[in-house]
Amino acid sequence: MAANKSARYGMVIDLDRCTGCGACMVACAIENNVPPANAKATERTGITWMRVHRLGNGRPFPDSRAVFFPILCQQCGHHTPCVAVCPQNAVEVDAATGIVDQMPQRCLGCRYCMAACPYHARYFNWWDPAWPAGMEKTLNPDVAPRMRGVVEKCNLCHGRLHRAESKAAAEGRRDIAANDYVPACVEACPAKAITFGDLADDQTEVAQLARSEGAFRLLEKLGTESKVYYRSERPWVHQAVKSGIGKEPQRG
Amino acid sequence: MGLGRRDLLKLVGGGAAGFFLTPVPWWLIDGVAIRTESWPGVPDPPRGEVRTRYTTCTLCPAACGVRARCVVDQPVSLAGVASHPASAGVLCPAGLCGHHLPLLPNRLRQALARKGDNFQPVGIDAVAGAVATALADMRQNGSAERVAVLDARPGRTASLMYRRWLRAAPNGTYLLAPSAEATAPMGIDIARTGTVLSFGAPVLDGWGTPGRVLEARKTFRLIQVETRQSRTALLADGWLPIRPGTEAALALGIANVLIEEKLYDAAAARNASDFAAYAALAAQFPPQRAAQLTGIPAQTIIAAAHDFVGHGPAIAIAASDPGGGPLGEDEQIAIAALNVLSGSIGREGGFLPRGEASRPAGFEEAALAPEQGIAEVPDASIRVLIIDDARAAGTWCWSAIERKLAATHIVVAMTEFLEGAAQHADFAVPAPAYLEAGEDAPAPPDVPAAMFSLAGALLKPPPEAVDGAAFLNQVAGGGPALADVLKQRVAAIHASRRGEVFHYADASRTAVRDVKSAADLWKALEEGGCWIDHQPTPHEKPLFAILGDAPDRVLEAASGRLPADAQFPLALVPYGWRGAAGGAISPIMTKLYQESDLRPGGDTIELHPDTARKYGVADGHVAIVQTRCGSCQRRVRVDESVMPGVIQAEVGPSASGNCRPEALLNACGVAGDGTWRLARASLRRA
Repeated sequence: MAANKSARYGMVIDLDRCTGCGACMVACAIENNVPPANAKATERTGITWMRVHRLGNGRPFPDSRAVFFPILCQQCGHHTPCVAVCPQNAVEVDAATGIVDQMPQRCLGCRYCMAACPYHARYFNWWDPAWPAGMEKTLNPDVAPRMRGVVEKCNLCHGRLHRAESKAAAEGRRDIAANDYVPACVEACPAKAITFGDLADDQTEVAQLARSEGAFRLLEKLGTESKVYYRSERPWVHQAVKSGIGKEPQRG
Repeated sequence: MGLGRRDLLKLVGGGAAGFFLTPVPWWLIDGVAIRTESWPGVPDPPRGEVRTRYTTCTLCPAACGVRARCVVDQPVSLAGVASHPASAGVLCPAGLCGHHLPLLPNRLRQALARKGDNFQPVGIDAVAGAVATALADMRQNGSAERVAVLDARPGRTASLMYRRWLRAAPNGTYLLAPSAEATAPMGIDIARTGTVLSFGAPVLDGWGTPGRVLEARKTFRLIQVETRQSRTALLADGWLPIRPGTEAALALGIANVLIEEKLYDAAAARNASDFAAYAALAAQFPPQRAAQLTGIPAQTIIAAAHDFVGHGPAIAIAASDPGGGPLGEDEQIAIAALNVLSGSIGREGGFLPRGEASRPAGFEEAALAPEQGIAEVPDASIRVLIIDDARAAGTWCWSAIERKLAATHIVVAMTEFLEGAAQHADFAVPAPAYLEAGEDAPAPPDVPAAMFSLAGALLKPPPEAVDGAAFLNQVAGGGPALADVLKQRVAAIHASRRGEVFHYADASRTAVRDVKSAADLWKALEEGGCWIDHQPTPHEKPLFAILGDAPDRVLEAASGRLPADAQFPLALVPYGWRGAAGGAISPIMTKLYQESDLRPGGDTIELHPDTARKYGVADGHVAIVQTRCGSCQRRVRVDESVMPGVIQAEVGPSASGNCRPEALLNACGVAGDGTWRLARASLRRA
């Protein structure tokens, strides 16, 4: 994988394999120093860069069926809505990786980006990031915690990308090795439901899976060219996605 | 040249406008932003040398390999060890945030003694003295009462030490936890299994060794028999939603089809001394009767039987629910008997006898107290009860244990947190937490090959913390330390020259016969490794009895565990998840319980819309669940996937943090066979 050859990092999530265990959510929070919930936090105000939803087929017992649907920043590659609305240029698409980056230092906390994001994948810090006393020493040294009043979201574990780039540089390589850059959620998934890699490289498994039968993207009609694909062989899942994911709680 | 008022205004205005053309405002914004990034409200991550260390997870019996990323000596993240022979690079959510546990604010850091409803600090010497005095009194009076150790994590070297200590104690009794997975007599060759017929076992959600099971998932068909549409039921190839408490009837119904249609393994059946009696019992459960009892159509039962043996090797499994407690022994017999019909016992792809790592001298079975279940012990017979790892006991129904205690008794809980059974103890003794205890991890319950790993300590325990073996030594006035016995055990493994060592750091393997000394083997295991024996070979099938001495009890169990009750018309089904059902968890798990609705949490009940309507409750209402044994108050969540007439209640952490599982478990009540997984209940809005 080449960080300097206009890569398009993305992932394919196999919904038929996801067990909804939540390992991805926990690993993401630990990797990116997302704090535990404030006592007052709810589904609306909590911060989960990766959030696993349960999507049902809408039929009653015993015909009810469901899949677990992990939703994270979809890394839009075209007319990225959050980039377009940010008055502070606090969001930008990295041309080298395709990753949509959020810069909390620039963020004013206006939350236009949250309103613009069609995937509800952005989160506002309603409280100071707080860990129980003494637990601050378990924070990841590669990622700065964000302050109250700014928006944050998945950046495909930018800290890990930087580590991989540093390692490549130290070893005199221009390209980073595929195994050196794996987001925390991908590494943690016990069912191996998430495949990650460079979508721009046709030889990668992720690129092939993204083109395979049963693969789809959320809200494809918006033309955001997102880089997170989903797969399922169950027809009702495709039908449910086409007709809207359902009652997504509003946040912020 | 004079300077007029107009010139002054021009200067100020021009200066102000020019200021915004300089980089200063941008520098100020940037500087302020950077300053606010590290203001006192935002914690600073630690700095220092980053290195990788390895250990083994001991939070559950799966014994997964752990790769810890540490800053100086503090783990900042945990991950699985790739290519691990059992865990295959996987850690569950609880394991991923296990490094938070030693730092939880409610950590027990000194021994406590009960005074009324509260606890007050006490020295560990005083606790050991109280136990020693009670033992001396029992010896002096020739008391028939017992001293018992209740081991929440059996199978460890510490467990062997407890059993040896108990052998010398007056009426020493070694008790297994009610749902101890680690004591399964046989492992499963799941990589070669063709079909798994699971009766409620959370096969894909924390059962056995999750990494190993999920890796094998693509090769076996899964039929899930469960009242609840669990995660496993959702991902199974077939889900049989069964009426609560009728699992044994379904097992016998399937057996009936297999025997009637001669689809069973006749050679395997010949090894069962009482096959004729078993066949006669199964004959009482034709598909139509099984359908009446279970609520599953007769045609579906027939199809499930065909499916079961159609893609062999086929195994039938039943497991305790991590929250709902153990299955009844008689139901387990009815389910396990299907393995005789499918011929999966002692066969590749089926059940294989579990091996065990060599033991040091002095720890032969004859020198140890036998393993016993709590139900086997007479009521009111235990004078001194020591509970090891009481934190893990958060999902035990305390009344099942309490009834075994003598009128005058002492309960000592070895625990990291004042939770679970520790809340009922007379003394709570601080124990080393996960990553602080230098101990071993026995072979995972589903792995047939013998395994042994060291869970090396990555952190120092608090000064007051003592492990169970050290506490017993203090009571007895001396004895070997756990670390010394562990070294003896590693030496015994080395002397056996069997198996190989898997090194976590580079996924390499070394045959034990190529390891120069026991010290080298110890070093390899301590730095991160596990010993694994050669795979066992299928063995000759011995003659055995399917029903044992319990054919009548199996028949009774198959007739249904929940008789109709007009006053309590609903079925209360408690359930849990191994990662979080009992005891303390990391606060980061709020991502699953509070900041999303991925797990319902321990303050909710789930109802079918029709059930909710019938009882006048709706989504978000608070309802009171009443049984003959007690009641609990929970928030209602209406879900179309719930069976009508059933109340599903999770045993686990809650978003509000103030709903403990004890009320629910006590409301379930303990049945005659020592189980509490079902109860009749009624419901009303609070």
